[in-house]
Amino acid sequence: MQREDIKEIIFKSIREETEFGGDIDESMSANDIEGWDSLAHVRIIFRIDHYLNTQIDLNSTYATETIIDLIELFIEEIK
Amino acid sequence: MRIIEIYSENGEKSLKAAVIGTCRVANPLNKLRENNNAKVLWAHSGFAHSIHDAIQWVSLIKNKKVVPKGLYQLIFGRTFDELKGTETEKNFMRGLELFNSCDILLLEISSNKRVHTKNFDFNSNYLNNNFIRPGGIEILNWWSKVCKGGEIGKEEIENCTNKISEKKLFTKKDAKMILSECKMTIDENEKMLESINILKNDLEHLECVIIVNPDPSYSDVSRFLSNECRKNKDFKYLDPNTLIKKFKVEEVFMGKGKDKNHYDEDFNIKVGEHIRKFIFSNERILSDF
Repeated sequence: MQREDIKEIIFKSIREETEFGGDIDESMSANDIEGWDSLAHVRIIFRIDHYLNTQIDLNSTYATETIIDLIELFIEEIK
Repeated sequence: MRIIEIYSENGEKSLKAAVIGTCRVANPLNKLRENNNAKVLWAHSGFAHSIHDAIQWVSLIKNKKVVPKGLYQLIFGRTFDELKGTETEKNFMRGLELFNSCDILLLEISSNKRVHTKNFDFNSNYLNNNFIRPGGIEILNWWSKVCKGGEIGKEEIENCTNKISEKKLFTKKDAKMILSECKMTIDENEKMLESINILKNDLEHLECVIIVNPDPSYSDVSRFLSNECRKNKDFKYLDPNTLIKKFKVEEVFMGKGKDKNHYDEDFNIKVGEHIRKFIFSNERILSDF
């Protein structure tokens, strides 16, 4: 799976869980996206997991600051 | 929940503290043990985030509420068998004896979000790890609707109940109850204060010390509680940011400062000392607001 595919899945999961309708950029963080609170964060990660068929360590996702970090984390997870 | 005896800097005084919260209070106070500045007298598995979790913990230790076998994972984080649940009653009896002789309640309020059924409050982390994630996509879809306040039909509850019981995660009866009743509600500040006062009135013998979540996203809640403490003096108030601001973020939190939910292993002792100094001081409030 290419980086671009993973990015799209992450964007899609963020939109589904937050219902955020604005533009999403990979340099954004949770603070930039309305609805991305602590509970939504977990749901976003579980949804990405579902689409990518992964089972990421939730704790590792708390150390991500931007969506770029999240993309990189899932790229590593898929390897 | 823990009951910890904490000793003053010169060792002349001690306070017996009932501690309810997360690893952000448990780990720092545990660290105090290394220099013989504290002793854990009693502990039970399970963290609390909201004021409602805390109220439930007090009800449990006072034996006013009993957790059914099937809900252990969502309240204590571990199963009935893992926790040797048959000994829980005895353990809580011992806890109650100590609780009644406590001097202070160290109460960390780290969330204004409440996850609950009619009779029980669930720890959202435990629900995530023990119910939603292992349940699969159908359960995640159910949880998304719960969090967004959406309608959930009988058929969906039936399907999800079957999924959970097929995977032998919970009994059919417990799964159905959780899926039908579970709600996520967010406390307004005034409502939270009301709940704090209910707890305080129930525990008149204890001095209540509220410790807040240092995450900036909770600053509205922290500002409110800080102001209420100034106005009413009903409880002492400690904002860990009064310590954190003196250090680089990389030194404070795990993941080189990125994981704001967990203090760095070496920083825990500093937080523990900060709490200890505060509870033995005459100050009622340590806040930046």
